[in-house]
Amino acid sequence: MKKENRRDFLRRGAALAAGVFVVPRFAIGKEGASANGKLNVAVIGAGGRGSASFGRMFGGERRRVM
Amino acid sequence: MEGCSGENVAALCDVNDDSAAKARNQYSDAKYFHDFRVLMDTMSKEIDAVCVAIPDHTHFAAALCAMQNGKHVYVEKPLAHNVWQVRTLKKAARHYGVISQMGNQGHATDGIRCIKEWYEAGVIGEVKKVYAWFGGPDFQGSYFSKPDTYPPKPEEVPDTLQWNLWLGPAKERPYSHSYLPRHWRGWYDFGNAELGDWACHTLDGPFWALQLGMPETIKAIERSPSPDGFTPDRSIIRFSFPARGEKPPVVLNWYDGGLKPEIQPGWGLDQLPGSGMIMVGSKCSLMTGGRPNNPKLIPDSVWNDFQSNPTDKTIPRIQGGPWNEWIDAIKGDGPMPGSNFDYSSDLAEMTLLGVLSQRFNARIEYDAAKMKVTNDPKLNAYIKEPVRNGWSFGRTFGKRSCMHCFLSESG
Repeated sequence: MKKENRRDFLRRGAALAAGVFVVPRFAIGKEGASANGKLNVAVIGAGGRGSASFGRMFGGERRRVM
Repeated sequence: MEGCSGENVAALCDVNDDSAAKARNQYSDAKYFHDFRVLMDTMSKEIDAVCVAIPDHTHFAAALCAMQNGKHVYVEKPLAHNVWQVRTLKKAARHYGVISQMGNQGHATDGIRCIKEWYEAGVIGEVKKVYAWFGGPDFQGSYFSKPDTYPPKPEEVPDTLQWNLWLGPAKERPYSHSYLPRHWRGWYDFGNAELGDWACHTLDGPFWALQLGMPETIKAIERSPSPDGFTPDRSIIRFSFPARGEKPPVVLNWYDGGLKPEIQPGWGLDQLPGSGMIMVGSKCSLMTGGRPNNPKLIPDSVWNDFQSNPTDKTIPRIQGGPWNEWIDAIKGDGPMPGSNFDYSSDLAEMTLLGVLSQRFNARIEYDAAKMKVTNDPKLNAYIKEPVRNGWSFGRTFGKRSCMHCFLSESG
């Protein structure tokens, strides 16, 4: 099977084939949205509680299994 | 396999410039706002998803504001500040079709899956009693402190703080450093005490595995006195759940402030750790710490036998924790997160009912179908709390400006 890149995967909506997966729901291709496949995230509560929790989230330690 | 260096932080919002300084420095390309309503009205088209990690009393407005703009939301526990709010967030997540997740991280662990699998396989038998205890509140610690006077002495608002925005929907009052940045949990107008902070972790396992649903009665069976609107030093809260199908009624006791359940002979324990949870089964019992991450069976003899012959893993495991789970679902790479609002709003509702009982040292008879306290009607004012002008989100659903309510309200 041909190895497809991530963008193809998302465009094709391949996730639907898996049944339980949801439709991709982020703004790839839309004006202003990230073109590199990353989500554009707003963090409300950037200090305090936010920095502890979300620093880990966006700090480059994210693991991906595909 | 594909390495991924994380997502793109496009916007940061905080009402406290001092607290936000570190994050602004780290994400220097992100635009910075004081008011999340302005953020959303200004940048909605450039945002895919929103993380809400502010004090409990403002969760609801921020999460609703994000969802009505079609954004996926990750919201810290206990989801919101009152029962009406958590139910409305559940409805809104469905209405807007967004991916939601509450920040009870343990729900993404193997541990909580083991709790459910062991229970469902009949390993511990029938459960009629659950005990949970948590060591805090620690008034010398990071999250709780006691002011010199109640209410605290008014102070001048620092230049770096938007005090009125921090108050958000809550009733106006003079600023004091006793409320923030981290000490708001002890004040019931803003936080939900130790119970509200931890029940969504400690009780997540039994709530999910036993499918507890809503309690019929919630009673403060012990509570130390405290100033009006402020957390007690210690309490015991008893939740009584009715039978669910063939599952028998369950009594769940929560202890905090150093109180703990009495050790039962069948547990094989000499002492209890500082925080923990025990589901008492008819065959043996199941124990965790303050989080559901590492369950074990007690007594040890049962646990040793079980480990050499464990039950099957029937529930899919999550790779990479609750944040990845949420992000994968948004991208279509994974299923709806386990602590999506359909589930987590119920966990939060149970928690908030306990908080209400603790706050007023009350015995509550609760009619979940009507969302009402039936034996003490004055408490219903805390099931849905009044908000200040500009903060009445969620009365109707629809796409509209987040400043809309602010601009359109006159009283």
